[in-house]
Formats: sequence, C-alpha cells, structure tokens
Amino acid sequence: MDNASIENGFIVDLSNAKNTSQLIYELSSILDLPEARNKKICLKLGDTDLNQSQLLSIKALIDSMQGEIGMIDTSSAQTKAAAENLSILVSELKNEAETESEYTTVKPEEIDAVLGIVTTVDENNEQKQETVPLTPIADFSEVAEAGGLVLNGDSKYVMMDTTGILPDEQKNHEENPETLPTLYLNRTLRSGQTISYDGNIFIVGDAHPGSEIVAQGDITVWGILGGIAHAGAHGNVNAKVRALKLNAIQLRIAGLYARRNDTYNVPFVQKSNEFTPEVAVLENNSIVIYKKLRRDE
Amino acid sequence: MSFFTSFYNKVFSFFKPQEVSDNNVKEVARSRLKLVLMQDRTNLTPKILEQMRGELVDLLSKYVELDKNLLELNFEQEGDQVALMLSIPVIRAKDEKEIEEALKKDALLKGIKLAEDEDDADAATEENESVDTAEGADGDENCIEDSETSEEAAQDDSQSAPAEEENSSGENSGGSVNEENNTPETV
Amino acid sequence: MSGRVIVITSGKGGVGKTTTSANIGTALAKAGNKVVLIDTDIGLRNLDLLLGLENRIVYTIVDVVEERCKLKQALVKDKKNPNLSLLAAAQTRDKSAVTQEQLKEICETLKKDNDFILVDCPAGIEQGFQNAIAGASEAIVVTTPEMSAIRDADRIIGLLSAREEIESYKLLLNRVRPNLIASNDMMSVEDVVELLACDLIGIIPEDTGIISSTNKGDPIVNDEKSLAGQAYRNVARRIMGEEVEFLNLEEDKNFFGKIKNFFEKTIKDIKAKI
Repeated sequence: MDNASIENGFIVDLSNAKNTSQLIYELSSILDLPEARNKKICLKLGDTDLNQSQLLSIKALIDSMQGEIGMIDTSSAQTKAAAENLSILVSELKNEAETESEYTTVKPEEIDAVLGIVTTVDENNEQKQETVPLTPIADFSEVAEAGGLVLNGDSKYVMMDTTGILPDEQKNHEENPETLPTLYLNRTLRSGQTISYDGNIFIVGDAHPGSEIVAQGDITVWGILGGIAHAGAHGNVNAKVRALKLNAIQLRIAGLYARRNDTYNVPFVQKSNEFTPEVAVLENNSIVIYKKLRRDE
Repeated sequence: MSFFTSFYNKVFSFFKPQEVSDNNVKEVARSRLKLVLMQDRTNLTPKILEQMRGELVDLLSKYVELDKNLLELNFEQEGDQVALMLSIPVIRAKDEKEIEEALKKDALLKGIKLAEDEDDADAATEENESVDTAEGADGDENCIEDSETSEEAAQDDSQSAPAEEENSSGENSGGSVNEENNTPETV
Repeated sequence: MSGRVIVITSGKGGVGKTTTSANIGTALAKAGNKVVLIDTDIGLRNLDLLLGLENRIVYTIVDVVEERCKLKQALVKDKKNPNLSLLAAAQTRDKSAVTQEQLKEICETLKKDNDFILVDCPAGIEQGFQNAIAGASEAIVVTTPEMSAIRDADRIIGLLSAREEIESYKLLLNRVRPNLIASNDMMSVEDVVELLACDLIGIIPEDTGIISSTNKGDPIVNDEKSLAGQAYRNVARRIMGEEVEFLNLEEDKNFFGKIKNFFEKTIKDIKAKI
C-alpha cells in the first residue's frame, strides 16, 4: 500500500454500512450536499466485500453526482482486487488535515447537522440578514399585564414574584452594554463556580447547572447555559442573555427574575448540533425569549 | 436430629445451590463489624485484645476448666458507657486440690521465667498472687500457644480474623458446648 | 410555638440522608405541621433537587448569614405544600461560610414559628457536621445494613452521645432488602440494632421508585402506593409521638422462603427440646 495524499477532498466513512444498498444510500445522501460537489472523495469501506461490478456502480454514482473517487481504504482483499482492476487508488487513510478546511470528515449520522449550516455572506463581504420574523417562545407580553406571574402554561420560563425579596436600593437604568468592557472566557463553568464582572461576559463553553454568571452588561454563552445568569445585575434594563441553548435554571435581567417552568425541568440537555441560538431580553416589564439571533439596534 | 438437619441442608442445597457455598455472608459481616466497632469504640488494637483474651484465659483456667476457643470478649455500649462483656463456656469447676496445684504451678512457672530472663531475681516473685499485667503477659506465651498460634497469624490482617475464629471454633467444638448460639447451618 | 430541631446525619455519604430529609419533611408537613428543611451541605447542595425547588432559589443560607437578605426571604415554599419550606445551601461556597453559632441562631429563630426544623447534614464528621448539629436537640442517624455505613453510623452515634445538647438520637435503617436478609446475604434489622445499640425510628425498604422520584423532584411520600413512601410516613408519625408498628417487609416471601422458615423453626424447636 502506498501512501498517497489527496488534496481538496473529503473522507466518507462507510465502514459501518451493513450491506451494499445501505452503503449506496448513505453515500448518495452525503454526495447530495452542496459541499460535496467537485471534490475528491476518499471512501472508507472497512471490511465490506465488494466485487468489481458493485464498485463500478459506486464509481458511476459518484461521477453522476459531480464527484470523483480519490482513493479507497479497505481491509477486504476482494474489494482491494476489484479496485485495482478499475485502477482506483487503494491506500490507508490518514486524515492529516484534520483541522484544515479542505478536508472534512463526514459521518453519515452527521448529515442532518451539516445540512443545517448555511453561511450567508455575499460578495461585498457583508452579512446578509435573513428576514425571518422573530418568534417568541412564550408570549410574555400577556404575562406582563397579568402582574408578571404565570401559574400554569407551557411556556419555558415563568416570571417569579420577587416583591419583597429583592433589595430596594437597586435603581433601574438604561445603559448601552456596548460601552462596557467585556470579559472573555474560553472554558466550561461547572457547578459551584461563579463569574461576576462589571461589564459584559462572553463564555465560549457550557455553563453547567449550579454555576452562576453575574454581569453588569450582557451575558453571552457560546454553548449551553444551564446555571443562573444575571445580566444587568445593577439594574441595566438593556442587558440581554444569549446562548446557543438557553436552559438556565433562572434568568435574571436587572430586577426581573424568571425561573424555568417546572414542566421544563430537565437539568441536563443532550448536546447536539441543532441548537437554535436564543436571546432573553426585557420587554414590557417581563423577560421575553426569542429564537434566532436578533440584531441589536 | 442430625438426620433432620442433614435432610434440611440437602433439600435446600438442591433448591439454592449458591446459598450453601457462601452461606452466612451476614454472619461474617456481623462478626467482622463487631470487632471493628469494638476497636473503634475503645481504641484497642486486635493485638492487644488478643493479649487480653489470652491473659484472661490463663487466669481463669486456674480455677475452672473452660473451653478456651469459645471464650468471647465483647464490648457493649449503653449510652455513654462501654462495658466489657466476657462470656466463658465453663466445662466444669475445678476442686480445691486442682486449684492449689494450678496456683503452685503458676508461681513456679513465673519464678523460672524470671530467673531465666534476668539475674536480678527480686523478692516480688513468689507470693504475688495478684497478677501484674506485664508479668502475666510474659507468662502467657507458654499456656496459650497451642490454641493461639494459628489464629495469631491470621489476626495480623485483622479483617478476616474474626470470621475464621468463629468458624474454627464451631468445628472444633463439634457441637459439644454453646448450643443456643448455633444456627442450624453451622452444625 | 417552640419547634423541634432534628438533625439528619449519617457519617457515610450516599446512604440517603437527603432523601430521608426530603421525605420526612414532606410527610410531617402533609400531616399538618409547619416544617422548615435546612440544607447545610454548602457547596454540594441537593435537597432542592429532591424537592424540585432548584429553579425557585434566589437566596441561600449564606446570604442570610452574610445579611444580604432576611431569613424569611430565603425560605422557599414547597410547590405542593405551603406548610413546608426550604432554606437552601449555597452552591458556590464552602462549609466555612457558615459558623456553628450562626446556624444555631437560625434554628432558634425558626423554632419560634415552626413545628419542626429538619437539618440535612453533610457527609463526614468535619466542620459541616459540627455546624449542622449545633442547633439540634434531636438526631436521626441514617444507615444502611452495610459494614461501612454501620461503622460510620457508630462513630456518629458516639459523637452525638457525647453532646449534651442532643437529647435523643434514633436510628433509621435505609435500603433494607428483605430478600437479601432472607438469604443471609445482608445483616438483618435486629443485627444492626444490636450492633449499634440504638433505638430504631424507621426501616425503609429499598425502592426503585426513589430514583424516579428524585428525578422528578417529587418525594416518594407523595406516592401513596409506594412501600418506601409508607415507611417514611410512618417515621413521621413516630416523630410526632404516635406508636406505629414497623412494616412487615417479609410478607412477599416466596414459597421456598416460607418452607425454609418452617424448617428452621422446627429445627430450633427440636434443638431446644434436646
């Protein structure tokens, strides 16, 4: 086996496919991705036995989808012989360019996730804003009129009655969080850990249940927010809480507190690549959560 | 009776084979715990306890004939107080002659021991009947050797010791004494 | 009103202190008592999870002692029973955040308008334990029929009995598995009581329902059908001074168990005659 290297290609791992039809189904669903066009494809076939005609039909499939077979990694002698007859390169696959953008490892189970990623940057290198209407998860504007307290309902968060609980000296004020300094952290916040800062806090990582983030400005968690988050802790009503997944046990903005609804009491969230970012803001004297990123004016 | 118990064991070994092999995990745990708790409560090490037991056997066997293996030494706690409980299976009481002999023998033994050990034989050797603990410990070794050596080795890894002690005592006695305590399984 | 302060402790971790606290507290409240549960496991709190109150906590016991809020504000009312409230431990601090005197003071204040104050003690015999027992006059020692748990319980009983403030301490035997006792693989209730020389206040059978009740945040005493729930309700009644018989956990013995029992009894009778 010689060590060849392929550029501008990607590896398709089909070693788990149980039979030929499953193999072809999985391969075609990957080739269907726009990213797969005009790329060299390295097939990882494991110990699947393929004869010459089967391999030929796979090659034809890849050709028809505007791809090209780069090489094949197989442990089966039959497949190896068939590939050599068709003059397809057989080699041991080593993904040397794991972090380089030209190589992408796509596993069949990740297909959905890959499909979900769409970058919208136009020629002028300006971000294209999709005009998706903002959809609040729960209609908290109604809640606000009812005194800020919901006793039942399916909303993810329920406003807490904090009368007589919060200190009186806190005065609400409006301040643009953009003017505040920002603390940038690249770590996981675990149970029992607290971060507080007189400005914005940006965390790359998850904030586990039991952790606490207290900021005078905004809180942004690039991950799952599971603990307590208090934005605008000194009364800044313009502060917001953002996260890839808002699952905070309590959301606090300025003097308003919301707790997770008892019916939504799942302390740990399954990690997935399908999170829709969420943002919690103060509106009409209650905390409202919006899905999708919201352009802050 | 023996027919009945063996029949019983056979019947249940048939239904629950694993139960007979590692029978009485519960009893093992109980006796292990007893010893451990005793140590915790009193801060006495297994070695010291064994020494104490040996000395007691030695002292008492001058007056009564007892089953050395079945002597039980326990601490029991009631409220704040820890009581030392000693249960001695007495085979028979000795008569006056025997007691006298034993005392003489004891005194003689001590005398020899001390003479052997050191040259400065004091006056304190002969008539002292109240056993001084340190001397008693020395004297012991001869008397309890046969019964204790096997156990002493096991005693070092203190955890397994009590279990062995119980088992071996059960076998040795062959059901001669201590009828109440024996559960059907150990007979 | 002068309430009773009962500390729930065990020495060893994982034997069910917090489960016991949550269940006895709930059962006492269900019976009409005003109950406050205090979680003293600062830094490793869990009582809030068992009661399903974790999303309602704003202030903790540390906020109270550091005077960031009033004691009343820190009490979180139970979802179902307004008679029950929780004083949560702080998760972001450690045991040194509260002193013995401060805990004693909190207990004294709560005594004034509550029937029962249950203090959930952390594992170990260090400062957290010393804090938890500071304000208590009664204690429930939780243990399981296992060597390590019993040994630790014995240590705790020794420490409790040396304290003059503790007027009574009772044993609660948790996770009892009658089938293991029947097969001689587990020490029986009698064995444990004899070894520890301590009065019993309850025997709780092992119950898989405990796991799901913890996950739901709903104590098992609220489940009328559960045997463990029944056992906890009985414990609460005993605390209130009623005389309640211990549950017969062996009633579901199988056929062979019954035969074996019969044989054993017969053999004992015969031996007694001989």
